[in-house]
Amino acid sequence: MLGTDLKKGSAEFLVLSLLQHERRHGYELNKLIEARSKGVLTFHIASLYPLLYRMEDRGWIAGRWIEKAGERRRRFYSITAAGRHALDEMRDGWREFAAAVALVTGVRHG
Amino acid sequence: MDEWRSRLRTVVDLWELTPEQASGIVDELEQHLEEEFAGLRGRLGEAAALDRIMKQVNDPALQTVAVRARHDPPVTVIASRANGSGWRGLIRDVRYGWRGLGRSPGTTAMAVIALALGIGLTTVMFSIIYGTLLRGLPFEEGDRIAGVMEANPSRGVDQQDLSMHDFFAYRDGQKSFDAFGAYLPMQTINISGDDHPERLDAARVTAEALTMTRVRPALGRLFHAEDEVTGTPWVAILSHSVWRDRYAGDSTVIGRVVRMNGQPATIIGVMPDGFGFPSSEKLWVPLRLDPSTAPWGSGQRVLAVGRLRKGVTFARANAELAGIASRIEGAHRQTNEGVRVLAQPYIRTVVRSQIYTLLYTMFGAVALVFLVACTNVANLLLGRAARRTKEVSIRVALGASRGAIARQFLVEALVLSSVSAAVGAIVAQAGILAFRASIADTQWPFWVDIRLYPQLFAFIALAALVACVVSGFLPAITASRSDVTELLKDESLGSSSRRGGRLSRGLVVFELALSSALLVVAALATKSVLNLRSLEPGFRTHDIMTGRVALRIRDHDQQAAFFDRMEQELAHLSGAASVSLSSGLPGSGWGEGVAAVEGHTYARTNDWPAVRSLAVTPGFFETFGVTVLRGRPIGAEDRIGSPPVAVVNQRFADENFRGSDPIGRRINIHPADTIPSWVTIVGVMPTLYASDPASQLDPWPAELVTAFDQTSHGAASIAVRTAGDPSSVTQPLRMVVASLDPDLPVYAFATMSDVLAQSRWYIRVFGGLFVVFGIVALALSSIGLYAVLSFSVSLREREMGIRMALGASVTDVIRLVFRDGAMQLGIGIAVGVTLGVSAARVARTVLFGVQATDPALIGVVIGTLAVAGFAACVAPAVRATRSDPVRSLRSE
Repeated sequence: MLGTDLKKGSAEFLVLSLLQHERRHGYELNKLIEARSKGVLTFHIASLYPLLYRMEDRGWIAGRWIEKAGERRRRFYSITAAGRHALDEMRDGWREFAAAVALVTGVRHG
Repeated sequence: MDEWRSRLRTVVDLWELTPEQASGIVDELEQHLEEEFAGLRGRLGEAAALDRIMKQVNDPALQTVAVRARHDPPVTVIASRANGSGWRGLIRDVRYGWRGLGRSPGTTAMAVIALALGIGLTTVMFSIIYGTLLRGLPFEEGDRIAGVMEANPSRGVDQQDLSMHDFFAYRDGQKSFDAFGAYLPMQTINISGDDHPERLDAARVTAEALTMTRVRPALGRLFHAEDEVTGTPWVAILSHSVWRDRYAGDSTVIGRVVRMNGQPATIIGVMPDGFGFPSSEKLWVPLRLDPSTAPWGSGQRVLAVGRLRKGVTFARANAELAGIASRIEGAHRQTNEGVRVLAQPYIRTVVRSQIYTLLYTMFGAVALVFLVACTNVANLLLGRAARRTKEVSIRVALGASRGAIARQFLVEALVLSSVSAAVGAIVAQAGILAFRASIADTQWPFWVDIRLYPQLFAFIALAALVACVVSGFLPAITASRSDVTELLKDESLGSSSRRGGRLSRGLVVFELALSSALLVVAALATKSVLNLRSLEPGFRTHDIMTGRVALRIRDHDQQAAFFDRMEQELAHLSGAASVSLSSGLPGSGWGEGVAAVEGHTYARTNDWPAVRSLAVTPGFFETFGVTVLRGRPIGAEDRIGSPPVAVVNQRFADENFRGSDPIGRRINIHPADTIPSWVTIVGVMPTLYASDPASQLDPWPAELVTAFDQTSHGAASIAVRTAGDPSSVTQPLRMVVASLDPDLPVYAFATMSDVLAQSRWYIRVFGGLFVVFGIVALALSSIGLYAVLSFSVSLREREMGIRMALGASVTDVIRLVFRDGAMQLGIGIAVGVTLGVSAARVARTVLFGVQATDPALIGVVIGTLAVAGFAACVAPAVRATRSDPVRSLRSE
């Protein structure tokens, strides 16, 4: 399993990536993270929702209640312009970080 | 199954949120857990699934969900980046700044070029000052070496050499100096007796004047006190270059006896390479002073130099010397009344104050170029800041502190200025090489060595820092002051950009003022260089070879006989069309004196009109192509014994005879080397160019020429007009003189055009530098004006669109843009021209034949700036007319 710090640091990155093209609700995000990471990454509500709320406060994502006929209202999150900006930054940073790690450790992707 | 639901509600209730917040959180979490429970139950069975859900609900960490509801200060990643403590944050800012600059490569390149030019040129000028004035003497603890000189303010004498009596009084009375010596710089000595005769720049020095430098000879020894005793055999020390060139680096040269000015002298030493103390001498002989041979205050005068003892300051040494000076004054009131003594760092005493003024004025000028460049960059960054107000305001809204925003901009400026500094160092190196090439054929004091010293990189770094602060400060302040709420409400660029616009317009006025000041000086310098180039000196300068001989015979008759023979021999030189001997060369060698006109009365000798004079042989007129306007030139009949004559120039005639005919009138020349001093005017010639502007003398003064044969000379300038290449007569000329006296060297060989060029190299070089500064400043400020105008137009595009939609014509809009530009231009130019004229007055050393207030030139400067300025308005104006009102309005 991944270390807590690494996981914490990358969580925002993951959420932003998943919201890049469509809006999703919290459970869906968790499911996607779990599925795409093949079970390496999972979140409890105690870590996922504080994260989402924090990101929302930062203006990276916006949560909206959406109510469909005959269903309970549901909170969907979508990415904002600032979020996209942050995502770009993170991607750059990640690339640099990964390249640096590869240089130091000799570990390469693929 | 409802167990976890009720537990969740209980937990959330404990957080004491508003009902809305609580229900929102419960809703969201409940749905999440419901779905998760459904998934888990399928895989693990109901009990295990329920267990997992309960664990999550009971997790104490769940409480952090409540954080948002309590509205803790939002922590944003941008803010956290900007607030990132210490180096990490700074590095992130640098990376961000780098990326940001990369996004607008055009703007960035422009800024880098501007700053690199500014930093590079400033560094070139500072290197010149550093290598000339600041680096000091290349001796061990060279900063302790002091020049000691006297002044007599009560008689208006700013600087005088010491009488040898004063020198010995100071030397023997002082305790502040380890060594205290006297010297006479820039003497010339003929060396011969072993090889071809040669004329060398020499210094006469007391033993201590050399030992004080703490430089050891490369070969042999320095002078001892015994060498200073009159009557002992003469000894001499060679410079490294003389040893290498004349003696092929032969180490057996020590002990060899040569002839110096005809006297036998033993070579006792060779100095190391590069040593030329006191200025750039190549030969040293002992200075022999015997104060008993002359009454106090008369006899040989000398310059003094000393090495301060460890721990003794200049102030303390001066206090001590002043005490001695007042004791001398008490004992020798007649000669020493009012005499003051001053010890200063050596270079300060020997470099003329004009040079200081010139170099520091140039530095001031280049600092202005640098400021113009910084202003330009400030403007570019302001523009960027304005375009980024939205981004900035979002950051501020997200919690980035103003300090963090300001820092971001400063870091961006820092990245810019660092890159520029690197490019600037290359510009500086190129500039220094160019400068060195342009002064290669001129003689500078030995300690002057202009190069990009490692220390100068500190200067470059400082310049970069200044550039960063100057160019980044305003944008940083402007950006960090952005009014967030206003900006977020406004979808357009917003108020701060308008404020930035106002600021940058102010900057452009400032920039224009500096540039026009520089342009005024540059134009004056250009005019001076052109004036010099097109100078018609009134005499021929082409196809003339010149040289100089200095006789060691003292007897006037023998000197005259020698020069007579020499002139006759030279006249037969093959390739020589005509030959002239004169006391000096026209253009640089005129003597200074005064002349009284017979029949006029003058209260004092000081009231006699000033006149510059040359003594010439009859060949002067043919060689230099000077024709007399009235009367006759100096002729072969004007010899010793015949009545002494002179030919005066038109200006002398105009000033002293005012319409009446000067021919036949007599004048008394002082100082007189004529015997007797009353001479008769036999002709009037045109006014000839007499001296370069550095001499601070009128280049077109009242002049007269006397007959060479009727005056007494120990030295003469030879001028040979040739049919072909002037340098072809150099060798034959040398041989003719050697046939008359094998010990007599001909020196200072130069074509006449070089003679004139040499005396004004500094106008060419420093005037040229001013021209470069002016052009760079003009380019930078035009770009600046363009950038600001086009930016302010882009801000007002909507306004323009609306105006046009409401019926404003294209001309109206263009007029609007131009009015903006014209205002800035007008103020900037007015301030700048005033500034430039005052600067030019200070820099008049490099001006020639032009007044600082030359109206035509100032007109040209104003015209150039106006054209450049209006050209900068054209593109923005055209763009303004294309503003699409519909699009503008839609974007609202």
